[in-house]
Amino acid sequence: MNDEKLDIYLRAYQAQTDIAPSARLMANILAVPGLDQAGAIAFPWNWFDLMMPKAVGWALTCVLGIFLGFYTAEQGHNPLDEEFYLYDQAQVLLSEDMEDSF
Amino acid sequence: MNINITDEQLMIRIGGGDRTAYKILVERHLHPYHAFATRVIQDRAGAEDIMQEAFVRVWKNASKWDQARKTRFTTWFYRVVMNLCIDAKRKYKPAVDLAEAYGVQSDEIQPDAHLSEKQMAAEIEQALQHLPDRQRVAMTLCYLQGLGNKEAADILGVTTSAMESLLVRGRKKMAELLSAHKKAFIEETMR
Repeated sequence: MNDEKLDIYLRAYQAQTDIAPSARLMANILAVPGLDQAGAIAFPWNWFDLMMPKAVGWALTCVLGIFLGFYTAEQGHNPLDEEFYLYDQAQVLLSEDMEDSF
Repeated sequence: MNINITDEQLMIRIGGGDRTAYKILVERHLHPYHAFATRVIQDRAGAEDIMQEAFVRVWKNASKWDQARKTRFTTWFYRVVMNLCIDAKRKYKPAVDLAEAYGVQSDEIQPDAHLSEKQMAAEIEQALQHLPDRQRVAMTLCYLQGLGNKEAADILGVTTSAMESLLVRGRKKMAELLSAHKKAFIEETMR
């Protein structure tokens, strides 16, 4: 196919696809500003709305941190505890063996 | 509002929450960019979704618009729409058969002289589908959207010579595809 013919085809395709968007699409797009944008500069009160999700996130993180802090403080863990536990178990087993032998 | 205001000035106003400026920008650009999206992804419903998403990005990013960067709104917006189209194209195939969309029966294909505009459009659309993404976008920007090579190169982020190369290869491949299609048709009718 030569260039001239290709251009004719392209122009036909251009004309066929040059369709005006629907009124519904226009309405949907114009409704976008209903979503709050970063218009905090123009509307300072928007700043609080924008910050609300962050504030809730930080508050929950703080509460969780404090809870875990107190919870773990009550259950202080001594590395030696485990060794004592093993030592106790060994004692029990040894005493059981001794009882059996008698 | 002054209708002669530039797109870049409108973006500054939109950044300040000006809905009238947003409306002007939408009315000014929806039609050509919607046509662009339709041509690239070849799916009208998908193109509508893309345009909605693209204008949401305009609204959300307007406050960050930096006039000092000297970026043209049209170049930036073409990039936004192009990237959305390429992502969408990777995710799904066109829902509608192209010949069907143009009201053309595949067995109605006729020799060139008798081809209607709809049939020619359907053939071009099928050929465009077989081009790689960048060649398809380059062809669409220059031959269908009517942009110059320089602006199209800026949108694709390539040099002007690279854009010319994309166009040459794109045209060559399209001509081959259309010729092959014609040849197959002639062989079919000779049997």
